[in-house]
Amino acid sequence: MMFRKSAQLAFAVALLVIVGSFATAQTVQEKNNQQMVMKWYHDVIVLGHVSEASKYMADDYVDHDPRISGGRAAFIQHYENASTRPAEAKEIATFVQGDYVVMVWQRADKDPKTSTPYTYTTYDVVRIKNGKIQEHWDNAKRNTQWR
Amino acid sequence: MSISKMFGAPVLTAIGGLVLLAQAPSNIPPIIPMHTSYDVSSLKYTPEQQDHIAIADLFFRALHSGHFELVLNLIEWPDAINHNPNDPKTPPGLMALLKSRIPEPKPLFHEQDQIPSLVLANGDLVVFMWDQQVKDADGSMYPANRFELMRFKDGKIAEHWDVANRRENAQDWKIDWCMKAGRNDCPKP
Repeated sequence: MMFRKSAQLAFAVALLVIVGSFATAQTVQEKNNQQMVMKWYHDVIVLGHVSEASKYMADDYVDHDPRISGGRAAFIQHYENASTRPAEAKEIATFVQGDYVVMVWQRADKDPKTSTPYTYTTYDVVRIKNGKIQEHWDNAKRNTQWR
Repeated sequence: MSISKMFGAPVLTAIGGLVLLAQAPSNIPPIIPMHTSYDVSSLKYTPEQQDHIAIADLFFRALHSGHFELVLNLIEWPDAINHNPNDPKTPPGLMALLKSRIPEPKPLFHEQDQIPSLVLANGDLVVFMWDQQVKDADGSMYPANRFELMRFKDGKIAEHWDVANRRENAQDWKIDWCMKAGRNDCPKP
């Protein structure tokens, strides 16, 4: 038991030391990933240019958005429909780390009862593999409609 | 001056790790969680960012287990900004809401702690993603994801964004948690 705890502690400290020893600068690959993903999001998802999907997305792409839950074909089918596409949104933050890119957006809506304007937040995460988007997650539920 | 600058973040984080492990059951998940396909060697965090991740991790554990004094202590009052359009914006209001959800605290390191599937840092920001099961209209469950974004200042949470739309029944909901919290300043129906 003592050995197990000691081993866990050694692992935690070693992990922290390893993690802390890296520089913070973004690599060229990460910059490329970010640019590619932002262009994919704007052109394919927001503008609906789904004919360009294969340029950005892997053949065996997986989408975890529960409205899609499928591959590239299911993604194209979903975003072909203009009513499912999100409006342009303000970028709050972008995280680029290794193979992952996280985009955080601010969207505007009106209170359903009072019509008072307010803002809310949405998220998109992608994993890159071999220069193409391999996986995508977002905060959508099955009944979600971005505005 | 931040606690990181006073003691050095690696030392602080290592001490934090010791404290967390001393309190934790042997099956506690790691402080820095990872996705099944996440490569730890790709992490490139400064000591201060490691602190932010550890603090955010502690915040969510406290939030989910009902340790709300600790939750409030990790927020930078009175300047903290919460972008959730439904949450109360003051410490007493937030405390009342949280207590209406979890009246009695559970162990801080509960066995059913949800391990985030992804945690990333950028500057003074930290983002968390969780896998979760959501109930559909027909009662069946399906997988979806939940997110939280935080900005840190001097080791405390200075800004927070989560996924929340203004509720259709916002007023009824506010009255409900306010009444459950036993407050006498609840809005009128």
